[in-house]
Amino acid sequence: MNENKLVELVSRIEKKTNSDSLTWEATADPHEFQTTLANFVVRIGEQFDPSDVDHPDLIIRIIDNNGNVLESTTNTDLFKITRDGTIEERHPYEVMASIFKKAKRQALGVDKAIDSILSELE
Amino acid sequence: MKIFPGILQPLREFCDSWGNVASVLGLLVSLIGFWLAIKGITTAKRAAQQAEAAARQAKDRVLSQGTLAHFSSAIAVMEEIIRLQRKKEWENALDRHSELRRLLIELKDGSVGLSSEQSIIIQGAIEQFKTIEAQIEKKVSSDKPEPNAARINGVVKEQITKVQGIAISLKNS
Repeated sequence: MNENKLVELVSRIEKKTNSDSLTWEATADPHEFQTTLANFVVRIGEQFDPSDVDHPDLIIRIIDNNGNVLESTTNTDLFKITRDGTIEERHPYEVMASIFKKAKRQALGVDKAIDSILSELE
Repeated sequence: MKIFPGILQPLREFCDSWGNVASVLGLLVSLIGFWLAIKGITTAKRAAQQAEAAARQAKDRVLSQGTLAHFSSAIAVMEEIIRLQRKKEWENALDRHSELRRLLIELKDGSVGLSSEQSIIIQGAIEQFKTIEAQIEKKVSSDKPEPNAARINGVVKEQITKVQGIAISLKNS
């Protein structure tokens, strides 16, 4: 895939995630979440580095209708392929972490739970 | 031969007065015949098309009943997987996972009237089950910690809801 398109893709996934246009779901792996987009399955997950367990990389994988992983990219890959090391002036890790955090909150129903608690407290 | 002009003359007069009428009538008969022939061909073509459509509908109905039966089988296997995982019968659960993967692939690639959106939902389910299977496989083959049964069963239940949704929409279509 054209590397600029990859950056654009991650940026759009973040926007769609933030606007709740994507429905993320939990997977059996607590460090990975999944959604479907067009005719593809998109997964975002933490990728643990044994030398730096406290700071896992984040990886996005695009899987086609036949289960083939068409593309996978980490925040480190994105840092290398972007001209100035940023995506719209933000560090690629920040963008990926924002997608991961929002996907997790949506998949686990955190926002709904908080809304429900808040309405009980009113 | 001299008697012929006597016969020919009245014949010529008859033809002069009725010839044009006969030509017009002939043309009319030809046109009616042509119209009847065209109508016959159109009717035969329409009948053939109707017969073909009826045969196609019958075939689709049979295939779609087969598809719905596959959906029911897949849902039954998923429910069995939930029971096996709850009881932590990991090896038996692995066997059911293999069967489920085969059923889901058959549904995705062989179902009648499945939209691309529904097809990718099934692929999403296949990916979910791959992750569960990998966790069970690790436990069974290398004695890694047990998968969290409640968590993976939660994922299976979500997939049942999705697959059931597709089956219902196909049934109603």
